[in-house]
Amino acid sequence: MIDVDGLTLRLPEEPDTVAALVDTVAMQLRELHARGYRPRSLVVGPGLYAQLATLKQRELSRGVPLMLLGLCVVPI
Amino acid sequence: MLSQAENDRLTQVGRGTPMGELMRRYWIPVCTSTDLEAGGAPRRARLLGEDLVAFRGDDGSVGVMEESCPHRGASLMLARNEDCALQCLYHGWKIAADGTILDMPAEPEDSTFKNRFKHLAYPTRESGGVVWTYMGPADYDAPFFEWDWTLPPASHTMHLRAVGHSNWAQSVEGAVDSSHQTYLHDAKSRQQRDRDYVERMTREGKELTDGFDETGQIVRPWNDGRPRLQVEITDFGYRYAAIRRPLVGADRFKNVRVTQFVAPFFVLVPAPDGWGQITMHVPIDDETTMFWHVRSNLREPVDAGTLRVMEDSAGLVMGVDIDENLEKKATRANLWLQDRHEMKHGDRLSGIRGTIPEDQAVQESMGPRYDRRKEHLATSDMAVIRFRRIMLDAVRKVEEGGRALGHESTTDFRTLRGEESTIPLDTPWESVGVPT
Repeated sequence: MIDVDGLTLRLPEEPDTVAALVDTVAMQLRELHARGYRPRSLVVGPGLYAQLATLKQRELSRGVPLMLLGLCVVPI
Repeated sequence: MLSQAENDRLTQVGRGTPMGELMRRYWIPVCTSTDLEAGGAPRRARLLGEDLVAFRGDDGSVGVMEESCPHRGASLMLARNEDCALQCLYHGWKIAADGTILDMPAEPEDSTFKNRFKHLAYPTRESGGVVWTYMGPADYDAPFFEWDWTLPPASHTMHLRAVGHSNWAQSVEGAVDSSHQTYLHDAKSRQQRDRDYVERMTREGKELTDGFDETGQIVRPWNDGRPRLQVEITDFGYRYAAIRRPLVGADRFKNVRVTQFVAPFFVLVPAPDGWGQITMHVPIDDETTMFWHVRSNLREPVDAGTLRVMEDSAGLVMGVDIDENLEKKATRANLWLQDRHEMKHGDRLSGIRGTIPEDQAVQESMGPRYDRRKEHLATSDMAVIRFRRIMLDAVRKVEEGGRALGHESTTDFRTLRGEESTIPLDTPWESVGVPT
């Protein structure tokens, strides 16, 4: 399910809702933490990145990085 | 984090909203049975944004109907209660519990007007000392849940309630958020009670789980602020475990605290041995919630002293903490009566009296309907995250014509309990809190 280099988390398929995305990432993080990984970033497609950036527009405009569950969200 | 559209779908409960339509497929608590006196005053009950009145007829039967008289809208809270019907004070329209208009005394004697329509009324049931109603489609077969706490006689059961001035989902999210226990509800006296309890149980060779101390307060054998959370989806919602290091034997044991979430707003938290308990987070409207905590002694009646300890610990003593309308005296306007001196030099770390006002203070402080675009969830929010997803999935299923979550469950809810146990490290957490 997951492609991880120890620091970066990628999802093979991107859920179609924010609730599902957060839930999926949370479940993956739990597995990774149990295996001793501490990923720092989440790589997502440009469409999803844009959707998340819209939700967090106010923070981004203040220079706060786009984050989800403590992971820096970066576009592919 | 949710999008604005998802947040609206999760939190809005009015008729015609997606969540409102899901909620209306369940039986919903209205008030306690003792709130309604046979032939006595009606009681106002706002549910899912609808203003209702509940009353008990002279024969003991209960009615729940729209508060506004169908004639010209006078409140039926003012009505006379006689002949198992409410008679509006304004022009005497008399309405039976099922909404049948029995009389329009100001109309011509040969008028058939009253036979040609009914007032909005909902079916009712009583169980566990609670009056329940069903506000959904008449052609939907809504199962009525019985629980372990609804089985004993009324004398075994204690009902605590308080109006929370925030959305129902904020209230549920507090109930499925085990990790806040160590922070929001911490107190020096609590820590001492827990240590004393563990020492006593260890000395007596008893199992380390939740219990009561000699003052009747709940005590816990752990003080671990970083619980590991595990969530297992079920056919009624989910059960989740908060796994902690116990106060003693942490090299060999783990403390597992299993909570059951049952859609749409029931949370079964672990109860001490011999007790059943539930919290219910009933939407009054989009920005107000009736919080219920029901605890039932499964073996014997509850005495007044036990009730007093529970009310005092919860911070819900009538006349002290809450008024007759179940409104807290601690509000946003008075900063929930937070005592800064106590925070620094006294017992409670929150400075707020009682666990329920503590919970509601933080929930209300988030705003009446929190904008979840603003939050920064963390891994300790696992159960909150899963709650949102399964409820949004449940909404979608009903929109597509499916059954409400839990209505196809094969679980006997009477066997469903929250459970806590201290088990060997190599024993799976899933062994705790399994329905029997």
